[in-house]
Amino acid sequence: MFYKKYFLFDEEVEIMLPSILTAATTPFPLQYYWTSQDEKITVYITRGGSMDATEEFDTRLNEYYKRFGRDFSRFVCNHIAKRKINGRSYGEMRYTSYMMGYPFFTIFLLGTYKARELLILIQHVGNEFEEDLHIFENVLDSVKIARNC
Amino acid sequence: MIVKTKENQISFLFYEPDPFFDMGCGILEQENFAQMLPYKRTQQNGREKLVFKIDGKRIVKLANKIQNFSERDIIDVLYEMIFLVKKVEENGFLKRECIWFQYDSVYYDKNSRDIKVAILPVIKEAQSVDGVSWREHMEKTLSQIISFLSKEKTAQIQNLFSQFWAGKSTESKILDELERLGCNVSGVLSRQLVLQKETILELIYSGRGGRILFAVNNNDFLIGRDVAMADGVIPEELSKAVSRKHCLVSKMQDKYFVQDLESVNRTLVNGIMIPPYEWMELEDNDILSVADIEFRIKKKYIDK
Repeated sequence: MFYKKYFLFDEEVEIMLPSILTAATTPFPLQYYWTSQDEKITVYITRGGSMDATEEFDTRLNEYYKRFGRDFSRFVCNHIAKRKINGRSYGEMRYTSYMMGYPFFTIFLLGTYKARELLILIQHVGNEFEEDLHIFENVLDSVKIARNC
Repeated sequence: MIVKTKENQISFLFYEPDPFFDMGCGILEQENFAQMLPYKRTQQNGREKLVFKIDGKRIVKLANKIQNFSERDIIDVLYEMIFLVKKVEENGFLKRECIWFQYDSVYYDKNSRDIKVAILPVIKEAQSVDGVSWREHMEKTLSQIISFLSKEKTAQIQNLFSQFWAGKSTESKILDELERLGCNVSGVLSRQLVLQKETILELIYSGRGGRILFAVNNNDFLIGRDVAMADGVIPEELSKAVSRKHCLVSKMQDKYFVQDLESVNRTLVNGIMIPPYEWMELEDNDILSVADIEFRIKKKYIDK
């Protein structure tokens, strides 16, 4: 698998993505979106609401957890943990859900960037996501935020 | 929080609804700690209640058994308690205060020879019950267990834990010391801990013209012919096909990736050519071809 590095948000955030994903345009600023040709895999990066890294982190992830449980059909969360990537802490959730009859596997990563949420979503349509887990791990491990941010 | 202990169960009734309760229960299920008592989640008068069940035949109160333990068994119990604290905190969301270490509520599984305790999905309410803090409970429990050791070992281990409470020692150091004092379970449990090791990558060439060994650790490693710029220089006498700045090896967490820098004669991994400026992961025993120079990759783990 080949990977390409992308520099986002005025080159302050770096991520490495599989070369099979191509960047797609979104009408919204501060959002980035890539998809594979067969649209089975999508990666979505955006900045969210304001968040104080130290105090609100756990609460914010918990809110997302509850929201997903409420809004997504057949939501099953099979992994919640904090994760350290390049010296920064992130909250990670992995869950399966259904939408329009299709099963989805999602990795949701919540971090902080310039006092706001940094949200990274990796989504896989279908049940065969386990073959690609190693690739998703590489994507997560590649996230870098500039030191002064 | 109201705690009630009966012969075959411990129940926790929570005063206020805790916003983290659902997520906490999810994490407990996900982590599935071997030392955790099985539990059932119910409601009582609209309040959350957790009931931890004890099978009285196989699982018994530690307090009723410990006087028959050998010194090694007692050190094993101490090891397991500290190991569990470390394991619980690895998740990042759970805290040590989730572990209910009150002496009368610590159990022992006669078959698996594990301790068994209640682990709660909340923190705030568990921090202090009846005016007694979590730390006070834990200190008291440890003291009571240690008191069954010989005088010499008691003094040694009490000193160990004093350092711990004073913040001068870590769980890992305590575990290492308990191993040294003759703990039995360390080998089994230590494999469950996240390995505190670092990786380095060795690139080994052996062929005409000699032998080259490059060792890559935490910094980006440029390979090429340029003596001034490259970290790993491939001399011209060995190959004229290598570009001055040929490829870059970079570390990400404990993995390594190589990027071709638009070299003339390309970079390949196991025969697959890397497009210019794209990255490919390097794994143990891969063959990295820098033009016509083939390196075998060796990934090594060293203690942090």
